Amino acid sequence: MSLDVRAAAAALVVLALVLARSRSHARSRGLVVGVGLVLLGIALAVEGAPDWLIRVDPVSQPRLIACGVGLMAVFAVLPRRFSSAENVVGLVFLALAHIGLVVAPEGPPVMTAWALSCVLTALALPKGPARRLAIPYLTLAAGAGVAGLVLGGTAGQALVVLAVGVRLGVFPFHSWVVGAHEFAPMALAVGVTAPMGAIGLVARSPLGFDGEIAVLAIGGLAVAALITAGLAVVQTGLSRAVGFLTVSIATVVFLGVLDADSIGHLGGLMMWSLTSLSLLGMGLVAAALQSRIGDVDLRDYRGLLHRTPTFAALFLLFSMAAVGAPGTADFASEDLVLHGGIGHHPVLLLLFIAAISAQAYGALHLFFRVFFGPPEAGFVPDALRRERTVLLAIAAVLVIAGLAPQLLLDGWLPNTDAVTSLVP
Amino acid sequence: MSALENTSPKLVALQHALEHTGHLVPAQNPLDRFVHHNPLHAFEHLPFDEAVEEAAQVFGTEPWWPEASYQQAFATGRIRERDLTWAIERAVKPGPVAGVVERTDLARARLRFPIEGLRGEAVDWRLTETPALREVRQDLPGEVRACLVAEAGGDAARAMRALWDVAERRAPGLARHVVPPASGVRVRDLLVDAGRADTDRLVHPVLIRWSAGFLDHGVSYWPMAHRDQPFVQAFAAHFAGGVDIGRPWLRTARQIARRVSTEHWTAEDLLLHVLEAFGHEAAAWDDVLLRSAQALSGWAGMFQRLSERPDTAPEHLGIHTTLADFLAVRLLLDLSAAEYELGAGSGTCMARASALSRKQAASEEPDRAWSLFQLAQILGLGAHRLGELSDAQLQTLYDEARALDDWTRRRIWHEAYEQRFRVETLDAVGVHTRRVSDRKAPAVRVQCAFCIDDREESMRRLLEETAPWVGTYGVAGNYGISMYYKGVQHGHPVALGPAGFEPRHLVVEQATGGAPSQTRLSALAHHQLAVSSQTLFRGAMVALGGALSAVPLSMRLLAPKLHAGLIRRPMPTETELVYEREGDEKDEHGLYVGFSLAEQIDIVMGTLEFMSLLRDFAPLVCCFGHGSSSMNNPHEAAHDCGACGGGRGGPNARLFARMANDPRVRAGLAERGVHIPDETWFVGGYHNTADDAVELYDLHRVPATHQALLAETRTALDEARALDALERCRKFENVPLGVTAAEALEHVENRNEDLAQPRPEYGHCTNAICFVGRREWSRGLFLDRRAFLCSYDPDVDPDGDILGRLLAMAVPVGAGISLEYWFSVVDPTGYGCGTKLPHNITGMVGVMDGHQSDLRTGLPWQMVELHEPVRLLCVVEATTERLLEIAGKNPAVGRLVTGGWVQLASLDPQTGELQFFQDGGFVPWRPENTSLPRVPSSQAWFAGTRGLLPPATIVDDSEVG
Amino acid sequence: MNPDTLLGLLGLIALFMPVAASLALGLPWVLGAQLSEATIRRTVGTSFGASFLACLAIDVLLLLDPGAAHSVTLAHWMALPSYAVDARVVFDLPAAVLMTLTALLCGLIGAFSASYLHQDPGFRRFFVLLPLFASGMMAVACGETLDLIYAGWEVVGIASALLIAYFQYREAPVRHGLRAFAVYRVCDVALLTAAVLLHHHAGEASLDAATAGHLGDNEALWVALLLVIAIMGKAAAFPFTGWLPRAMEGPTPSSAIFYGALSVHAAPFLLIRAWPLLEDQLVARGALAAIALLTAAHATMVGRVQTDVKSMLAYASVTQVAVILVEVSLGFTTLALVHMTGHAILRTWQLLRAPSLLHDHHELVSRLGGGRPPRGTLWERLLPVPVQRFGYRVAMERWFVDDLAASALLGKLWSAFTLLDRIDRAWVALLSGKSSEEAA
Repeated sequence: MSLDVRAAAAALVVLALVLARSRSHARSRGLVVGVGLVLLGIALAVEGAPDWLIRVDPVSQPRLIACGVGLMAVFAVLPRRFSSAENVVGLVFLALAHIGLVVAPEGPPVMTAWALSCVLTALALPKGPARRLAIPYLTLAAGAGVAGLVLGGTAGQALVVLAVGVRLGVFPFHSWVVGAHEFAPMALAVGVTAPMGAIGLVARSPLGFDGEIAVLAIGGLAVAALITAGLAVVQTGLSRAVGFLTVSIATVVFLGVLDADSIGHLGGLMMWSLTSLSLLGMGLVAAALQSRIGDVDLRDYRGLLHRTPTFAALFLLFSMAAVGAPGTADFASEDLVLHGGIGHHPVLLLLFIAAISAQAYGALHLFFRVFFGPPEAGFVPDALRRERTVLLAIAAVLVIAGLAPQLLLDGWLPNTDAVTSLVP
Repeated sequence: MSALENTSPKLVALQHALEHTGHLVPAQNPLDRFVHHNPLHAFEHLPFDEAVEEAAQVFGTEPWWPEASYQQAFATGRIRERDLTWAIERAVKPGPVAGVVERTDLARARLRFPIEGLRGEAVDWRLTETPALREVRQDLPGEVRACLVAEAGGDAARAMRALWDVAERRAPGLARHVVPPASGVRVRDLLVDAGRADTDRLVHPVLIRWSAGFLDHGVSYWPMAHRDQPFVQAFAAHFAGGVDIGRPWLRTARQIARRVSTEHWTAEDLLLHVLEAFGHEAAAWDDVLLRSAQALSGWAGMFQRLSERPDTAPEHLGIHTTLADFLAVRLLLDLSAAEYELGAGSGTCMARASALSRKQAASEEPDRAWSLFQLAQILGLGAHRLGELSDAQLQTLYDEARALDDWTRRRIWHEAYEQRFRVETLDAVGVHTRRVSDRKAPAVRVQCAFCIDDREESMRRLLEETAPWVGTYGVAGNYGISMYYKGVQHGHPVALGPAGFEPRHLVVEQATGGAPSQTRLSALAHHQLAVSSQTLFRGAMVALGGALSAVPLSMRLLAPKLHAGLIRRPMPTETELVYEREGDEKDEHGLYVGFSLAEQIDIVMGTLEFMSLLRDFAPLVCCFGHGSSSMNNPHEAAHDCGACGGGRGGPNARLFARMANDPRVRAGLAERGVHIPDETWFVGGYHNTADDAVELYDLHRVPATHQALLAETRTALDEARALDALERCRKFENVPLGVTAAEALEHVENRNEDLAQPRPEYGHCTNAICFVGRREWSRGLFLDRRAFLCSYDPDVDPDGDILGRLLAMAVPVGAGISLEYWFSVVDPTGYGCGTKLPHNITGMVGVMDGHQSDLRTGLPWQMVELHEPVRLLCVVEATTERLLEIAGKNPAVGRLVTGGWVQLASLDPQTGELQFFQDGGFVPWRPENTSLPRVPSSQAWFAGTRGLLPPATIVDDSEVG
Repeated sequence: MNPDTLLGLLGLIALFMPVAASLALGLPWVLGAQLSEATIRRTVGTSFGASFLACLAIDVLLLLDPGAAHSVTLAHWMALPSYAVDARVVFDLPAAVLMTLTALLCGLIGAFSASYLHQDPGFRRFFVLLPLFASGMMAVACGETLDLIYAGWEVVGIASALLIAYFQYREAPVRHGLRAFAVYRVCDVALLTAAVLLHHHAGEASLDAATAGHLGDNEALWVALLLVIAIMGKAAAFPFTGWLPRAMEGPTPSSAIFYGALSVHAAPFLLIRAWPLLEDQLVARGALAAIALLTAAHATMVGRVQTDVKSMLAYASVTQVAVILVEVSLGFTTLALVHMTGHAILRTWQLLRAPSLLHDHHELVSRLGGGRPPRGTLWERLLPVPVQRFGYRVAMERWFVDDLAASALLGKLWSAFTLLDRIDRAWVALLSGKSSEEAA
C-alpha cells in the first residue's frame, strides 16, 4: 500500500476527530465516526487477512475508504432532526452491507451480502412513499442478482447486470431512486443511493465488449444516461433533478466498470470511487439547502449565490467533478474509460460522449437555476462549520486527484495486474 | 376600418387609457440630452410618503431603503436613538397594547430587532441547528435578556424551551392572515400564474429588435425602411409580406399586420381591434395598457418622450413615434403569442386564460409560532407572561406587531434617517449664520458667478478661502439664455437652455484665427476605418493591420491623459460669437438668428436679478458655466449642467458676459435702474467639473486696465481648482488619502480620459441642501459639496417678485435632481439603471443591459453609490409669510413643498431665526447643538477622510481676534 | 541549460501562474475569507505579469532558432503500464503568437477591469474566472496533444459560461450563459470523439504530421471532419452564431476579451494546429470553407442591421473569424495567424471603447462639420429595393435560425422530456400511493 493512501487516511482521521467534536448531536455523530474509523482501519490493516474471510484487492480497498468517508460526510450534513437512532443505525448497516459486497469472497457470501444490501436499502429509507416505491424495485434487484449468481453463464451475467442496473436506478428502473430523493430527506436519500455500493457486484466481472449483446447493453446504458440527463433538465424541483442527475451519472460509471479492457476497467473503477465522492458532495450540498428552505423550486432562478457563496462554489465544483470537468478527479477516469474498450466502437463512443456532455449541461443548468437569478430575499444560512469541513475535504481529494491522478493511481498500480487478471 | 367608425365612447376610453399610461412611463430624454427629473413626477399630487408607496405598488419597485441599510445606519450612529424616538412618536399613537406593552415600545422593538419571516423547513432548521432554543437572542439589550431568563432561574435554555413551547401552543389560536395573490390584468400574467409559458419571452426579442430599429439614430449600417410612416405601419409593412420561418406563434400577428397594411389602420384602430380580440373590458383598458407598457417601460417611455419632445432626439430624422404606436405593436404581438400559447378554442383570450387553474394559491403568512416566539423575546415577555395572556390580548398584541409591517417600519426608519440630517444641517446653519454679524464683510475686488450646482459649492468656498477678495454668486448656469448653439467644434447646433423649453434662437461661434483644416479628412478616414472594420472584405484588410491598435489600446489604458493629448485635435485659437440680430430673420429651421438688443437687455437684467447682483459691482465679474467630459460613459450628459438641459454651459456664460459688456445693453439696464459702472468688466468662463479645468473666454477683449486683476484672479482660480480636485479625490477610493493638491489635479485630469473609469466624477451625488440667500450667511460654511447655492438678496427684492421667480426655477430643478438621486439609490435597479458595467448603447438614444433588454432609465449605480437618500432641504432667506405666499401662488412649488417632496426652512432675513415647514405650517426650529467645529481651512477639515463630513465653520483671517 | 528544459520551465510558468492565481483567490472563497481588492489586484497582476514575461522569453528563444518547433513534456500526468498521458506542449510560431496574445490581452484587460469593476459585488468572482480562462487559452495555445487542448478548451468553455452569467441576478445573462455552454457542449462532443479516435488509431493524440501518417484514409477524414465540427461552437459559425451576440451580457472587458479577441480565435487556431491532419483532407477543407463562407455571409448581413453597439461588434467579430477560417481552409495559415492577431487586438480596442459611442459620435460629427457620417452605399445601389427590404427583414430576424432551432428542435425535445417526466410521476404515484407534488 502506498504512502499516499496512508496520508489520506490520516487526514480522514483528523477530519473524523473534528466531526466528533461537533456539538450538535454528539452521540450519534460519535457512533458514526467510530464506524467510519473502523472501516478505515480495516482498509489499512487487512492486507494480511485470509482470503476466505475478506478479499482485499484494488477493488475493495478504495471502496472501504470511500465508504468510510461517505458515511462520515453524510452524517456531518444530515440535519440534526433526521439523526434519529433509526436512521443512523440504518445507514451504518447499509454501509456495512455494501462493504460486505466488495470484500466478501465469491459464492454464497456475495449472494448474502447482495440480498442483505437490498433489504437494508429498503429499511434505510424512511417509512412511507419512498420505501413503498423502493420495495418492488429492490425485490427485483435482489431476486435477479441472486438468480444470476446462482445461474452463472451468459444468462446469469445478464441477470446480474439487470440486478445492478435496477439497484442503481438505470433508466427505466430509475423511479425509486428519484422517488427516494423526492420523498425522503435528501441527506438520507443521498446516503442510500449515492455511494453506489451495488456496483461491487460486477466490479470483478466486466462484460466483454465484443459480444453483440454486450455492445447492445452498453449502447442501451449510454442512451439511458442520455435520457435521464434530459429528464434532469426539465425538473421543477431540486430534489428530483439531483435524483435524475445522480442516476444518469451512475449509469455512466456502471458503463465504465463493465468495460473489459483493462485500461477502461481501471478507469471505471477509479470513476466508481471518485464519482461516488463527487456525487455525494453534490447531493449533500443540495440536501443542506433542502434542510434550510425545503425543496428548491427550479421553475424560477433562485439566486442563492449571495446568501450561500460557499455552497455555491462547492456545488459548482462537485457537479463539474461529477461530469468530468478538467482539473477534477473524474476527468482522468473519464479519459481512461474513453480510451478503454468504448473507444473501439465509434457509435458507442459518440453516444457515451453525448451522454456525458448532456450531463455537464444538466449539472451547470442546475447550478445556474439554484444559485443564480434575482437574489433570494429571505436569509439562508451558509455552510455550518461541520458541513464546510467535510465538504472541503471531499473537494480537496477531488482536486488533488484531478491535477495529479498519478498519486491516486499509485495506490492501485502495484495491483494493476490484479485488476487486469480480473478481466476474463 | 377607421377610428371614426368605432363607437366613440370606446375611442374616448382608449384615449384616456393612453393618456394615463403616457403619464406613468419614464420621461427620460435620449442619453445625450439627459436631464434630471423626478421619476415620480406623475405622483406629485400626493404627499411624498403616500406617493412612494403607491408608486412602489404600481411599478413594482422599492419604496424605501432595505431595512438592513437603516439598521446599519443606526449601528454606525448615522441615526441616533433620539431620531428614532422622534420618528416613532410621529408615526405611532402612544398607548398600551393589550395591557402588556406600550405601543411606542412595541414599535421600537420591532424596528430595532428584526423578526425573520421563516416558513416550513427553515423553522425546524433554525430550532435544531442554531442556538435559538438554548440562548436568548444575542442582539437584545442585557436587561431584556436578563428579564427573559429570570423566570427560569437564570437557565437560558430552559427559558427558551418553555417560551417556544408556549409559542407553539398558542400560535394555532391566532387568526390566520392570508394574502391573496396579486391578480394580473394581462393575459400574459394569467398564463404565467397558471404555470404556462411566459409569452413575454417570445414577444420581447421581436419587439425590442424592431423598436430599436425604428428608433435608431445612427448605429446601424442599414437603417430600417418605412420610417417615414408611423411605427404601426412600418412594422406591418415589414411583417405583412415576406417569409417567416420557425415562428408559428406569429401567425395571428401576420394576418392582422396584413390588414393593417392594406386597410391603413392607425395605431388606435389596431389597439381597439386587439383589445377587443383579447376580450378586455373597456374599464380595464387603463390597467391593461399601463401594465403592457410597463413590461418594457423604457422603450415605451422613449416612444412617448420623442413624441412629446422630438427636439431631444440626437438627430432630426423626421420619424413619428407615439406611445399608441408602440403599444399597438406590443399588444398585437402579445395577442399573437397568447393565441398560440392557448391553442385552439372558443372564446376570447381573456376568457380562456382566466379559465386556467392558478398555480399559486394564496400565500400564507410566515410561521406564526416562530414569529410569536421572536416577538415575545424582543418584548421581554417570558413563557409565563406570554402564557397567561388571554386569547384576545394575544391576538391584539400579535396584530399590532404585524401591522408594523415591512414598509411601515422602513418609513419610520427613513423619517429618523432624514431627521438626523435635518438636525445636523439646520443646527449648523443656525450656528453659522448667527455669527454672520461677527464676520467682517471682506472687501470684494472680483465677483465670480457660478452655477447653483452643488458641485460648485466647493469651488466657490475654496476660491473664497484662497482669495478672500473674491465674492461669489450662484445663478442658474444658463445665465438666462436659451439657445441653439453651434460652436466651431459642433457638427450641428446643440440646445443650451432650461430643459423645459425648446430654444428659439441660434448662436454661432466662428473662428477668426486660422482654423485647422485637416480635421475633416482625418475624421473621414477614421470613420471609414471604423465602419470598414465591421464589414467583410474591407474588414479583413483593416484587421490585417489591426495589430497597430495595440498602440492606442495600451497607451489609453496605461497613460490616458498622454494619449488624449496626442490625439486631441487642434482647435482654432480665436473665435467670435455671432449673436446680434437686427431684424426678425430666421434660419431654415425657423430659429431666430441671434438675439435682438431688447432681448439681450431682458436676459442680462433677468440674470442679474436672479443672482441679486444689482449694485456694488466689482471691477471684474467672472461668470462660469460648467460641464463635464468623460470617456466610456454613456451617461456623460448627466454630469453636464442641468440648467442647460444637459449641455455644457460655457457658451452661455461667455455670451452673457459679451452682452453685459455691451454699452447699449448697460444703457438699457440703467433705464431699469441697474447701473453697471464703466470700469466693471464681465468675463465668461467654463468649469469642467470632471477634470477641474477652468477656461476663460474672450480675454483679448479685456481692457488693459484689468489685466493685472485678471492675472491675479487666474492664479487664485488655479489654486482653487487644484484644491477642488483634492476635495473631490477624497471620495474616490482608488486615490490614496495623502495626496497633494497637484497630484489630485493630475489624477482627475487622467481620470476623465480613462477608459477604465466608470466614475469619472460623482456628479450631484450627495446633494441634499438648497440654500437661497445672501452669500454672507453661508460663506465659510463647509457643506461638503452637498448644497445648491442660489444668491438672493431680500433687500433688493422688497415685493418678493424675484424670489418667486427664483424659487419657481430652483425648487423644481433642485427637487428633480435630488429626487432622481433619491430614487436611484433607494431602488438602484427599479428606479435607477443598475450598474453601468454591462450597458450597451442602443440607437444612440439609450442603454440596454447586455445583449437585449428594456431601455434602462434613471441613474447608474456608479453615480449614486455614495448618495444619502434625503429629500432636498431648502433653506431660504425669507420670512415665513413670504414663503407661504409664494407657495400659494405657484402651484409647482407649492405642491412640492406641501407634499413634502422637498423640505423647506425659512431663515429670517432680519433675525436669522430658523423655522421649519412641517405638517402644513412653519414651526420654530429648536436646535439640538449650539456649536460647530471651527477649522482654519476646508482642507484641514476634510484631510484624511472618506465619508460624508458634517458641516464646519471655516475661520478665516478676517475673523482673527 | 538545455533550451528545451528552459522552454519547459517557461511554459510551466506561462501556463500555471494564472491557474495559481485562480486557486489562490478561489480557495479563500470556500473557506469563507474576504480578500481586499488590492490583494486581488496584486495577485492577478503578478501572475499575468510573470506569465507575460515567460511568454516573451519563449518568443525570444524561438526567434533565436526560427522555424523550429520544440516539443516539451511538462509533466507526466498519468502513466499506466500500457497507457500514458503526458502534459506535452509544443513551442512553435502559432503557439508563441497565441500565448503572447493571451498574456498581453488578459494582462491589459486585468488592469482595465481592476478599476472598471472597482467595488462591484462580483469583483472576486471575475478575477477567479479571468486567470482560469487565461490558463485554458494557454493550454489550447501550446498543447501538443488533443487531450491537453481539450482540457484547455473545456476550461475556456466553463469560464465563458460563468462570465457571461456574471450579472447573475438578472435572468437574461444566466440564460445566455447556459446557451453558450450548450453550444460549446454540442461541439465538444466532436472534439472529444476526435481525440479518442486519434488516440486509438494513431496511438497518441498529438496533432503532428507523424500522427497523420498513422491514420487510415477513412479515419483521417473522420477526425478532420470532427475537428471542423468541434470548432464551430467557439467560432460561432453558422448555424450556431446566435450565442455570440447574446454573450455580450457580461461586463464590457470580459466581452471584449472573450468574444472579440481570444475565445473566438481558439477555433481557427485549433485548425492551424491540426493543419498536418487537415492538409490532405480536401473534403473536410471544403466543408470548412463552405461553413465559413456561409457564416461570413450571415454575420456580415445580420451585423449590418444591428442597432446596438455590442451586437454590431459581435457580428463584425464573427465575420472576420469566418474570413480567417476561409484562409485556413485555403492553407494560408500564416496569413490567418496575422489576421487573427490583428483582429483580436483591434476588436478588443473597439469593444473597450463601445460605451464611448456617443462621445465618439459627437466628436466625429463635429470634425466632419455637421451632417450624418457617411455610410456604405454599395449594396443600396446594386440591389433593387424589394430585395433590400427582403434582406433587411431576414437580417433583422437573424435568418430565423435561432427561432427555428427553438421551435423545431429544442421545443420538441423539451416537450418530449416533459411528457416522459409526467409519465414517470404518474407511475410513481401509482406505486407509492402518494402523488408527486406537481403532477401537472
